[in-house]
Amino acid sequence: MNTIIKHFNIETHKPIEIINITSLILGFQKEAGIQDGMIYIMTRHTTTALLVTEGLSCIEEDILGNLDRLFPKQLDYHHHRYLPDDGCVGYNAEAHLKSIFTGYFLYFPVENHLILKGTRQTIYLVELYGPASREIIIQGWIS
Amino acid sequence: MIDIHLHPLFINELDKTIDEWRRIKTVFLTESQILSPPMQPIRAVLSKLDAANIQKAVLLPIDCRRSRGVSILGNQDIQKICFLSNRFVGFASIDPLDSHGLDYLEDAHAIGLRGLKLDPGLQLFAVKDIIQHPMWKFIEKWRWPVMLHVGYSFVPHVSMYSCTVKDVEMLVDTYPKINFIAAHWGYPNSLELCLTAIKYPNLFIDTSAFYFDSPTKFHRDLFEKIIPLSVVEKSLRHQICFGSNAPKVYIQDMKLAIEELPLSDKTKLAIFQSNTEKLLNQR
Repeated sequence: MNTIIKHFNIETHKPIEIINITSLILGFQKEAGIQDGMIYIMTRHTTTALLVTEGLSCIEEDILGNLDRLFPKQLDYHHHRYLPDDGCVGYNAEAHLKSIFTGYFLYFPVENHLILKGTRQTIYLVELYGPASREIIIQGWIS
Repeated sequence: MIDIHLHPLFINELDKTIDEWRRIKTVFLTESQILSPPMQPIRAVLSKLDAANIQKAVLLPIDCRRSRGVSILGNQDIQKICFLSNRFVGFASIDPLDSHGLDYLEDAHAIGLRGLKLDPGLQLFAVKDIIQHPMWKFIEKWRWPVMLHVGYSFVPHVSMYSCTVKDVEMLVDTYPKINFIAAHWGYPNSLELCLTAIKYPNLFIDTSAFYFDSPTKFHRDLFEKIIPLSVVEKSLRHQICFGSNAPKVYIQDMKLAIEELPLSDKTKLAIFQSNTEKLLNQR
């Protein structure tokens, strides 16, 4: 089995934001020429997330709104303290919790040159502590 | 709106190696090597300004080559970033104990920098030892504002007593024609700093203090426990400038902390805009 890995930088522009990256993933599969195999997608950050859902703006709003409702920024978190490895105060616990809750990787099988996903399934990167320059990694496994 | 306190660190466009950025991180942020320098393109800084609805930012370097062997950016670095966007205003930094300091100051003026940043703790000098320094004549002539680190610091090996309100008082009293900006509310001696500013109209204070909890909670505590907010509203509204201290804090979070204080709209406008405009446009 061969593998191919690519790093992609994505600039986000808002404190929290949901970005459709479906075409990026489809483009990777096409360019890599994966006929049969699988694709893994991973974010390298603890304050972003990856998810799959129906590609509707109302769902996007519901996701961001409900993540905020579950993990409000203004709560008092243990993480809000001086962090010696950063040299400054951490105060983004809510972003970490949203990221854990949502997940940091995705997987898709590939068969006959097609990523096997439902027609309604849209792939998103979720920025939870932006804006920032973010990196995702896509790995293709070719059987 | 203007942010008067931004350190443009870890910018891809600056011509520095990752080892140089690591050294800067060691001196300015933490000696821990666990995390890599958080590199970013300049457009990420601009996005952060946009997210906070801040139109301009003052960029601050610190020349600590003598004391720490590296600059937390040099004047040329600041000039280069200013070329990348007209939303930046560059301040200079010189080491007052460097025999070439005055030359560097004149160079900085010649390349269009518009103020001076001093950090006695990082630069290892005592304010009393530079009170008669010839640089003050130039600064007064050019009508440059002077940003001064005052009070507490997370920076390794920097004492919170390196630059105190007493030092600020000495400067503003000796040089009444120079506008000084005491950074970080002078925390924890914020009340003394505010009292000094009431007495000296050439003393400005920036809001870039944040040492525990969140920026919002920190400022709520500051104004519940140390400074009556009425002092800002009645006596100091023309002397407080919004500063974030990015990248140690996100600009939008510091802005929210100040926005949420129960101050009048007129005072907030002065803090976010007109006070800093006045300081920058006195040439």
